[in-house]
Amino acid sequence: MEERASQYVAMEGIFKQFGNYEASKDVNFHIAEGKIVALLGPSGSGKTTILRMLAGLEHPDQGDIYIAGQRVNSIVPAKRGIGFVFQNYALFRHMTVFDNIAFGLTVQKEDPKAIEKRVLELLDLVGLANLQDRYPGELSGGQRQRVAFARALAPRPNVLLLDEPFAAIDAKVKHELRQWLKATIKKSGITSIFVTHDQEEAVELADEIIVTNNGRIEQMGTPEEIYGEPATPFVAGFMGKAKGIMHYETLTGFEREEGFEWAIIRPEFVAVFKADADHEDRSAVEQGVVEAVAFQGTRLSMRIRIGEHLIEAEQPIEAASFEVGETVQVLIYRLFLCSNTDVHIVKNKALESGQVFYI
Amino acid sequence: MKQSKLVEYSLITLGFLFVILMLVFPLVTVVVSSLAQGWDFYIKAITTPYVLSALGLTLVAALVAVLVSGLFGLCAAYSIGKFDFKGKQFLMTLIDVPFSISPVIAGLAFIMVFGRIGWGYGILDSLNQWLGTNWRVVFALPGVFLATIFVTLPFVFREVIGVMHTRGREEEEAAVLMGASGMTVFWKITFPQIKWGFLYGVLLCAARALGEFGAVAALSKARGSTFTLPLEIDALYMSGSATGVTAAFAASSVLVILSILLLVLRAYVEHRVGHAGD
Repeated sequence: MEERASQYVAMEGIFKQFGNYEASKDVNFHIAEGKIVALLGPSGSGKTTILRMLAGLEHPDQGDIYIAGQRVNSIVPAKRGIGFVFQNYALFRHMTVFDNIAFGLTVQKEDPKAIEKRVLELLDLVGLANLQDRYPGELSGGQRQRVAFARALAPRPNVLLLDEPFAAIDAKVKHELRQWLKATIKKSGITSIFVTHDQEEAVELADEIIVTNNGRIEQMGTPEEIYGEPATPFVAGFMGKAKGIMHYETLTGFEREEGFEWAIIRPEFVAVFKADADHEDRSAVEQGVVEAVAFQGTRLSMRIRIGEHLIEAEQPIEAASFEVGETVQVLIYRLFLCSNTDVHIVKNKALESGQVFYI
Repeated sequence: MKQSKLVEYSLITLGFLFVILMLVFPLVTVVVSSLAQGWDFYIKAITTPYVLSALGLTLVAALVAVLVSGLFGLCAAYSIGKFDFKGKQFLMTLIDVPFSISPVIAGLAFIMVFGRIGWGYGILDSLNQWLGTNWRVVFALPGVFLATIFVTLPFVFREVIGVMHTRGREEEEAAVLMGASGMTVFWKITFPQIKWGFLYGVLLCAARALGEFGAVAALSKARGSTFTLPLEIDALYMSGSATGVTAAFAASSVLVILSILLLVLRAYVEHRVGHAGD
């Protein structure tokens, strides 16, 4: 295959409509070989449709789909070289773990000896060697996911597609399973694309994230880029614990910019100090009143009112304790200013001049 | 707590009383009455040519109904459960029509179509002339089969579509993605999912076919050739003589025994349907 590695999986000018509902409106992306990519977006944003079109379970009304350098629009699902992990795993409930994993190879009439060798190899990879005679009903959620993963990999696909792979997993074991899945995918080197609505999952698992909204792709980039340099107001508002505020020019250190009607603030943009605390940025702070305090295990989450604005802040619990009704100093480091289509980051100007002064 | 216990026991008692009074008691009466004139009479009553012919036809009609309704139900459920098309909901409603329409009306409808004044009669007539045969529908065996099929049509469909809706399409999609052919998907994935539901539908269908009276009565008038067991029982009972009534009970007891057999099978299958997928 002589395709460029940066275009291992691609969609170009994809449109798809279900009745009156436009699931895809001009979707374009390129994915490099060996990457783990997340399709991230709210429900109904069209991310699952993209995955199902890649698999061949749905067909685009318009546009081209490429897998491993080949246009696959008219190629049946089974010949596209993909492995698919369904949201609820879709394990064959009347077959054992072994038969589930062997299914793809069996229907392709491979040599039984070779099938057995491959299945045992995969059972080993996913750490379920001792459970090969169990039925799916006798497994835990995490074990089922591993079987589904092994079953998808068995026929040696070029691309692995996963639909909300952690939706059916206990919160407790999610983190551990994500790490395991990421390590195992990297070990097998397979290009993988997964759908999720959970940004934490996307950030933790993916090399690159494609953010979808309303049938379009808002942005594609590394988790750092998506998080720190959002390309659209939607992405800025979707990632992190974002909160929108109007009249941001009333905050110390920020000026109104033409066309940018509102701003987005995240808890990590904010530091909170006791009213009497002495620090070098006093000229850049706002006076605020604590309206709510919530203990969140490792952090203290606070809602603070500054005039007309209500913002969220987070503090490590080791830092000073705060109470509802208390007046505090609030330092806002930066904001995302938003117009209808654009977003850009601005720093607190008072802070910059203050720093100059102290240097 | 005490009050809810009282409610619980009263409701359970009421349930049992109702079942005993309305079902068990009458059925036991049938069996007891059938033996009113002794064992010899009972044997004789159920081996008359009329009863034997009726029993045979009933079993054949049930078999035909199970085959046709079973195959139809399976195909219809598969197409509705696995494909999206316009008019799906309408088709589902239509298939349920036999549940809500009186069987006698169904029988009469077939008379209106295939009887001497019906539009189907001419077609049938010219077909007979062309083939040199003398097929008839009304007041003949095909009419009996048609009527039985009509009333049993929804059973298998209902059971299978229920299972298909709860199981969804993902397992089939997974199999297709791995390169399984349509036949492989059906036999390896779909059929194992629906087999107990299918069997349950078949048993319901058979039970309904054995007991059907109204629709068949409209289309069957020849005792000894086109009468099914329920019709024969009615004829015996209507004869009015004391022996006739006892003979009617004897023939009824045969039907009751068949139904109980089906009931036992049904209970077993129901148990399996409930545990399908475990």
